[in-house]
Amino acid sequence: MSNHLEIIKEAIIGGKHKDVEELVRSALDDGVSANAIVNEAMIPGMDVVGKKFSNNEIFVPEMLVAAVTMNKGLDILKPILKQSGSKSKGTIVMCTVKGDLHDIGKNLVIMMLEGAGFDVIDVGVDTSVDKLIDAVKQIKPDVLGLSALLTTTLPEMAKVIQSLEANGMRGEVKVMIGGAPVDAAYSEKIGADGYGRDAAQAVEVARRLIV
Amino acid sequence: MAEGVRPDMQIAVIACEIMKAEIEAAKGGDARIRTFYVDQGLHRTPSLMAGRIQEIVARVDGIVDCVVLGYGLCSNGIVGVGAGLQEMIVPRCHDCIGFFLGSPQAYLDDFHSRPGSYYLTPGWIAERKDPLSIIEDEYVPRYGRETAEWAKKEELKHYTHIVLVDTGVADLAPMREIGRRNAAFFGMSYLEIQGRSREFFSRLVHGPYPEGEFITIPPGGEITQALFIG
Repeated sequence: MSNHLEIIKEAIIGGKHKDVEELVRSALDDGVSANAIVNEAMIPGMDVVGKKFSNNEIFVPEMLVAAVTMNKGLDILKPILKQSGSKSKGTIVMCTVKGDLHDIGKNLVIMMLEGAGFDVIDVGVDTSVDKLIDAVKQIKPDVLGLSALLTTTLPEMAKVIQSLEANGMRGEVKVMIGGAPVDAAYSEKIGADGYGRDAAQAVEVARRLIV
Repeated sequence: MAEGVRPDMQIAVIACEIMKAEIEAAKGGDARIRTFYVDQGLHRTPSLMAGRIQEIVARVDGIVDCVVLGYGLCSNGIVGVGAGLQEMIVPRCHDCIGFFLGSPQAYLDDFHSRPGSYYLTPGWIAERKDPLSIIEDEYVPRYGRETAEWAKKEELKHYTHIVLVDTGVADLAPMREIGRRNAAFFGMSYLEIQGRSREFFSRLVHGPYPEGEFITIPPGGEITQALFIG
């Protein structure tokens, strides 16, 4: 069983998108649970991919191929996870902030969160503060996830939090932030509830914020 | 340093090689100004940038009266760079595109009016850093053509414009051809703009350094993200 998980994890890391479906089916046939495949193979695999990316060992294309690989595996696993009736771990609204059109990171985080059992509503890229306030009012998510690649757009994160406060909504939703220019110091400075260095850590943060 | 470079001062300009032509044109024959250029490839690996810049600061430390950086915040790539024994001047720009457009504010204005812009300048084109050349030089050898083209299209899928900034240091015709070819391949619009870069690069190497446009790091100080993001 652990062998299956190890092979799937390596397939994610290596971006073996042509093999992953067969590997996942074979693991399921041998009695490995869908849950274990996601949480003990796929997410840890993407964790390695994220770290390699941070260390400049790999670049965006490898990251994209790893994501495609995980997505193909998830396509098989999601119906099984749903059938097993496992309860949603919480609702998360995700976006890139106003002015930022770079959504590779956001999409990775969404994939990982969905795999980990969260309901995710993607409100897209270049999202204005007003649109986010409306989304929080209507969807009432547990967590609002803000992503940015550019330092130019980083101040938008602070504006979102200030607007939540101004609208008396700050207590209703946790805010987690992420993206290349974000660090713990910035997260603390603007009063976010958590920050994820990469997509795998974003899952950890979401788990911590939703108790 | 707000007043700029005095006649008796020795200056070291440490810049990304992408702006070499513009800086050399601004410097002219001024022997007080020493220029050092760093590999542009660091744009993609900003975590290596500060170390490379610091090595050059160490080489001129105490020998010059002031160090001027030809870098923007560059995805936090310059965070942690120390001024050394002299003052360090840093443009208050997130991105070197502000230099080519003429000021930090010009970049912010252009950015907010058209966030999906992929900017090209003579330096970026000479270094083959337009998206099509990146596909050929960096992606195809590593991933094969199909994945290379797919990945670059994914990276740029929300971009709407290829914007060629004319900085007045090179013949536009061949650059225009490259810009148009990129725009056609990625299904973007092609746009040319006249930057006010000559004035900016002149200020960069000679001053003055008004606070709104440049940050002065005191001797012993270091660059932080907070200096750029209030």
